[in-house]
Amino acid sequence: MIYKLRNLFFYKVIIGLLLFVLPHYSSGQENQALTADFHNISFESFVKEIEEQIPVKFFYKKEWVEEIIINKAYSNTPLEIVLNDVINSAGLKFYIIENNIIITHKYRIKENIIGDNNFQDDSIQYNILTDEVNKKLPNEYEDIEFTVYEIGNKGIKHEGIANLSGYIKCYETGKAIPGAVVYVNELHIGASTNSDGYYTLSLPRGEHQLNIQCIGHEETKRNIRLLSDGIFDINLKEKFFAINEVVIFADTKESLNGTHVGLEKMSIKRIKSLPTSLGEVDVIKGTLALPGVQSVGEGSAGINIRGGAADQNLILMYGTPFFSSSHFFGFFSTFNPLIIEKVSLYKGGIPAEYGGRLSSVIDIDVINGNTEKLKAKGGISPVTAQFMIEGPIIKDKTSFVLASRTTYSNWLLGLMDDPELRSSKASFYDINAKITHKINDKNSIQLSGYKGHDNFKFSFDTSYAYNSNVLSLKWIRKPGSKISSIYSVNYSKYDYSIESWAIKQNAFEFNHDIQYYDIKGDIKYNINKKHRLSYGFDLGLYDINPGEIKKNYSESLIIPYDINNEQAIVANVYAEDNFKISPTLSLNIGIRLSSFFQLGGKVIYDYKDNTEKTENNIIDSTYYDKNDIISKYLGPEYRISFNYRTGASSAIKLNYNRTRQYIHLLSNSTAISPSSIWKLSDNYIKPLIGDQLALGYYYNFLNDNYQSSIEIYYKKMQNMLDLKGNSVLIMNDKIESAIISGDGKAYGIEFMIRKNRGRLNGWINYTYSRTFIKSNGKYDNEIINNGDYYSANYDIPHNLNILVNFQYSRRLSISSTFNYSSGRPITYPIAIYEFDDKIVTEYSDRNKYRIPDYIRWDFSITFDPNLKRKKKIKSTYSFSLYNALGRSNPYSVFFKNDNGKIQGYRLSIFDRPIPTITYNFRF
Amino acid sequence: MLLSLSTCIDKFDPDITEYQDFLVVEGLITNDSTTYYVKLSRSGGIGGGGWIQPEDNAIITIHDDFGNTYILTEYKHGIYRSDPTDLIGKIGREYYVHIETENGEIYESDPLKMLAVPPIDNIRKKYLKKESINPDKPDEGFLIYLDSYNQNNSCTHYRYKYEETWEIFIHWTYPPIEKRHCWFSEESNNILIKSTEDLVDNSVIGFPVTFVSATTTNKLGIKYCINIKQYSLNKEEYEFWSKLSITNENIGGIYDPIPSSVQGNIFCCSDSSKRALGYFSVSAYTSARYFISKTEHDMKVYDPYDLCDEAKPPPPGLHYYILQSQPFEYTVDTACVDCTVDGTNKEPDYWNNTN
Repeated sequence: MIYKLRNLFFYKVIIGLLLFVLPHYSSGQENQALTADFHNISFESFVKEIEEQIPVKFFYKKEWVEEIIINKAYSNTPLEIVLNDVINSAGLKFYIIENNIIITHKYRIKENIIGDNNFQDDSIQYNILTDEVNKKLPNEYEDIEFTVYEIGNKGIKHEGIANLSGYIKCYETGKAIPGAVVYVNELHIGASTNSDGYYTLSLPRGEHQLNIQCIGHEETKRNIRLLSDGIFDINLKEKFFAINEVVIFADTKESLNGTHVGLEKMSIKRIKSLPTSLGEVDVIKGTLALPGVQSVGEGSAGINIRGGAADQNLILMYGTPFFSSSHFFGFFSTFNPLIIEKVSLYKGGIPAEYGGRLSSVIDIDVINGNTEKLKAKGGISPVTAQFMIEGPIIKDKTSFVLASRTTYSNWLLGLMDDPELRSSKASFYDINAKITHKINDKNSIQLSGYKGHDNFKFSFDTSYAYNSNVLSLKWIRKPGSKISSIYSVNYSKYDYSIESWAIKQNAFEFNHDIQYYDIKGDIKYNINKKHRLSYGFDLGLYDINPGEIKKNYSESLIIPYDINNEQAIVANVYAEDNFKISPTLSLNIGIRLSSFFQLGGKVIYDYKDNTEKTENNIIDSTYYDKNDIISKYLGPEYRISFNYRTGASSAIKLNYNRTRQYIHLLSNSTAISPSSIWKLSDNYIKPLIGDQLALGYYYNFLNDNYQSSIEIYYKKMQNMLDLKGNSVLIMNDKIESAIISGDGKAYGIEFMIRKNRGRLNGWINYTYSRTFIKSNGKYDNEIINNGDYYSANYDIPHNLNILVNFQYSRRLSISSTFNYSSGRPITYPIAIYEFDDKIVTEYSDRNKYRIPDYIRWDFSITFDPNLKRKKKIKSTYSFSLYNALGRSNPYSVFFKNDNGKIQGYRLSIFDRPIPTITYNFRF
Repeated sequence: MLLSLSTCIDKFDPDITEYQDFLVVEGLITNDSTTYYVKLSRSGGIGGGGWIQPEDNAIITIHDDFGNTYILTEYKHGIYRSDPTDLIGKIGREYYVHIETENGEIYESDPLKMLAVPPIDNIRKKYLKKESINPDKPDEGFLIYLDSYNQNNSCTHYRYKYEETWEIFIHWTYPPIEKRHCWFSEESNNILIKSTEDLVDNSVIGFPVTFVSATTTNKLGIKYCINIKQYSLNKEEYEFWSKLSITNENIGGIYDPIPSSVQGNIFCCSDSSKRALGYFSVSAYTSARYFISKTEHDMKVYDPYDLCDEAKPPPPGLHYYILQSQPFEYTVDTACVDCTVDGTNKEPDYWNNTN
C-alpha cells in the first residue's frame, strides 16, 4: 500500500514536471519579413542584405544572376513575396527548405521530389567542387549526376589501375562524413570513408559510375573518367526533413559487400527514434533491437552479445575503452546521444584491429565540430537535461565540440513524501569535449576527453560515488592516396567508492579503481585493386586497485587495508589483408598476436598442491618485486572471413575468429552491480579464449528496398569465470579462492528482414540462441550442477524484435517497437525446512528454472512544430510510451519468508506504461 | 530511490515440480551443564510438495575426540535429548554427531572443537529516534549494544541469541489484579553473528543487538529486561550462518547475490548422492542480563490497551469480557482484559536483580 502511494506520488511529480516542460507556443508564428530599400544593386548584394536580416542562406549559380539589377523597396514584406518579386521576375525559380533558399534556373523543384533520390540540384554543387577536379561544366541544366568528371592527367597511361581518393563531406555543414560508402556497381569494388571522411579506391583507368551512400544523406552518384591517380572530393546533401530519420541503414549494399559476418551499424538517428523509458536516448540499450543482442532486464548495466557476458564487450568511444557504460546502474547510458555520429557493433568477424574482449566491439563515433559556424543542441526530459555546442576555433582548421548532461533527480527526490526517499540522493553528470585541428591536408589531430560522475546516498548510512575519466589524443596522417594512418595515446580510468557510517565502530570507506594507458597505431595501405592491407600495434598498461578500505571516522575499529595493486602490460600487433580474389569472391585474413604480462609489486599466495584454493590451504606467500613478471600469456588470434557474391543481390559469408581477454568483471549478482570488481588475469586466473564460427546468407530484394539475412554461429569459450556459491568479492585479496573456472559454449541462429526506405520502414528479427557454462573443478565447491553444462544467467533462447517507423507527415512521425524474449534462467527454491525456529529455503541447481517471458511494446510520436519556419531555435517534441501494454515483466522472482510461509514474489522494474515527453532544440 | 519510479513487487507462485526430502539436523552442544537437544526432520516442498515432517526412531550418538560415545533418546517427535549426568560439553574438546535413521541411512557431522568464549562485559543502551513511514511520528526507543573484551583471543566469531521480558499493567480497573499485572517474553528470531577477524583486537565493541521501540511496542512501559546469549563459533560455522542469513534474508533485490544452496556440516555416509541440511553446532556459551526501567526515560510508551475500548463487565451469561468496538456489535477480545492470555502473572525470579 505504501509502495503504491509512493508510486502515485512519483507520478504526480513526473506529470507536474512534464507539464512544466511542455511547449510554450507563441501562436502567432509569422513569416519572416523584410524591410529594405534596394536601389540599383546587384543580386549578390541583395542576397547579402537578406542574409543579414533573416537567418537564411541562398544557393545559386553565379552566372545566372550576373545581369540582375534590383530596384525595389520593401517595408515589412514577407520574404516569400520579396523573393517571388525579384527572383521570378528574373526568370529564375526558388524553393525554400528550412533556412535554405535554393534557386534553380529552368526547372522548379517540386515538393514531392524532395526526399527522393532524384533531387540533386545543379545550382548547389558547383561552387564547392574542389580545384583538383578537372570538371567539365554542364551546359544548361544538366544534372550533376550525369556530368562526367575527368580525374588525373591525360596522356600518361590509359590502362592499368589508378588510385582515387578524397573526402566525403556534408554540403551543409562542411563536416567530414565517416562511414559513407563509395561503390562501383559493375566492379563490385567499394570503400567506405574512415572517421575523417576519407576514402581511397583502386580502380581500373577509364569511365566509372561511383555510387555514394551514407546514413542521413541523399544517395547520389558521380560519373568519372579516371586518367591517373587523383583526388575527388564529394559533397553529400543532408537529407531534409530528417526529424526522425527515415533511412535505417542506407548502406544497403554493405551487408552484401563487406566480408564481416555479424556487423551491425546504427545511426544515432535510428537509435533516437526508438521509444525510451526515461526520455533519454541510450545508444547501448538501443542495440537491443538488433538480433543477437540481449539484456538480463531493465535497470541492469551491460548487454549480452551472442552468449557473451556483459564484460566481454569492448565499448569504445574516441577509440578508448570505457569500463562503465551506464549511469544510475543501467538506467542511462554513459554516452551523450547529442554528440554521437554512429554506433558500430561487431558481433562476429571482429576486424584484427580490435581486440581484448571476447564477444563484441561497440565502436561509438563522435562527431567532429562544425568548422564553419557555431551550433548548439539540447534537450530536456523528465529526469535529465543535456546540451551541446560545436563550432570553429579557427575557421576551417580547428573546431570543437562540448557537451554536458546532468540530472535534477536530487531535486525530485527532495520532493518525496517518504523520509527514506527524501534523505536519499541520486545524481549524475557527464562532460564530453573534442577538439579537431587540421594541420594541413595530410595531417590532423584530435584531442578528446570525457568525465562522468555518479553519486548515490541511500538514506542515512551509505553513499556511493562513481567516476569515469577518459582522455585521448589522435594524430591522423595521410601521406599519400594509398596510405592512411592513425596514431593515438589513450587513457581511461574508472573508479568508485562506497562510504558507510551507520555504525561508528564500523565506519569505513572502500575504494576500487581501474586505469588503462595505451599507445596505438593503425595503418591502412591500399596496395592495389586486389589487396587492402591494415596493420598496427597496441601497447597498453593496466593498473587496478582491487580494493582499499579506510577508516572514515576516528573511533572506527576498521583496520585500514589496501590490497596490492594489480598491474599488467598488454602488447598486440596485427595485420589484415582484404584480398579480392575475383569480382565475386573476397577474403579477409588477419592475425593478431596478443600478449599479457602480469607485473609484480604484490603478494602471491601459494596453496598446498592438490587441494582446493581456500584460505586454510595456503602454505606460503611470495612477494614479487615491481619489475618482476609473475605470469605471462601469449597467443595468436585468427580473423578470417570469406565473402562470396552469389548474385547481384545476394552473398554468402563465412567467418572464423578467435579472441582473447585478460580482464574480468566479477560480480556476485545477476546484473552488473554497484560493487562489481575488475580483475586481471593472473597466475591462477587464465585468460578467456573465445572461438566463433559464423555463416551468413544475405539477400536484398525489390530493388534493394528490402534486406534479409540469416546468420548462424557457434562459439566456444575457455576459462569462463564463475563464482562459488555466496562468495565474498569485496576486499578479498585471494580472489582465486572464490572463483571457479569453466568452459562455455553458445550457438544460435539469427533471422532479419528490413525495409530501408519509404514512409513506412522498419525491421523484424528473430534469434534463437543458447549459452551454457560448465564448471567441473576438482573439489566440491568448484563443481556446479554436478559438473554438467548449465544455462548462463543470460541464456535467453527466443528473442523477437519488431520495429516500425511511419512518417505520417513531414511534421509527425511514429515509431514503435515490440520485443518478446524468453525469461532468463533463475535458481528457484526447491525445499523448505525448519532450522533455528525459522523456515529456511533450499535452492535448486543453478539456473535450472526460468522467470516468465518478457513482452514489451513501446511507441513514440515525434512532432516538429516549425518545419519550414526560419526560426532561430528549432525545436521538436517527442512523446514516448514505454511498456505500452503495461505488462509487469518480471526482472526477478524471489521468495521471502512471510510469517513462516515461503511466498514467491516477482519484481518488475516497470509495471505500467511509462509516458515521457522530451523537448529537444538546436540552433 | 529512482527505482521506485515504478518498481513493483507482487506475489507470484512459480511452477516448481521438483521435490526432495532432505534430512535436516539441528543440534547444539555447549559447555552449559544442561540437556542438549538434536532435532531431526525432513524438508518440505515449495508449493504443495509435502510438508515438513519430524524424523522419528533414529539412533543418535554424540562422539568426542577421546573416543567417548553418548547416546541420545527421543523424547518428543523428532526431538532427541542427552542425559546431563552423562554428557557435559568441555572447552577444547571436539564433538560430532552420528545418526542412523529408521530407514537405515547413516549421517555424520564434521567434528568441531569447542572454542572458549569471553564474557559479555557490558550491555549499553542509546536513545535513537528513527524516521518512520509517517514523518510526523518518528519511531523512538533504545538501541541495545554490547561489548565483549576478548582477553585470550581464541575466539573470533560469535553468534547471539536473546530473550526479552517486560512487565505490563492493564489500566482498566475492572479485571481482577491477577489478570492485569503480567510479564511478557519474546525470543530473538533473526540470525545475529559477528566476526572480529577484521578488527584490531578481537573485542566486540558496540555491537548492536536490537532496537526496543517505545513507539510501536509497550516493552518500555514499566520495566524491561534483555538476556543476551553469546556463543563461540568456529569459522566454518560462522560461514554457514552467514550464508544462511544471506540466502534467506537478502535475496531477490536487483543487486542481491544469486541464491545458492547452503551446505551445513552434515553428510550422508551411507549414500554420497544424498544430501543433508542443517548443522550440528559446538559452542561455548555465556550470557548477561540488562534492565531498563521506566524511570530511566520520559518517552511516551505505546499502550496497546488504548486500542481496547473502555472495558466493561460482561453481560450476564457471558464468560468473556467484551470489547465494544462498534455501537451495535460486540467483539470478544480476552487479551484486552486478561494479560495471562499472552503472558504470565508469575514474576520471574531475577526481576528484582539490579543491573
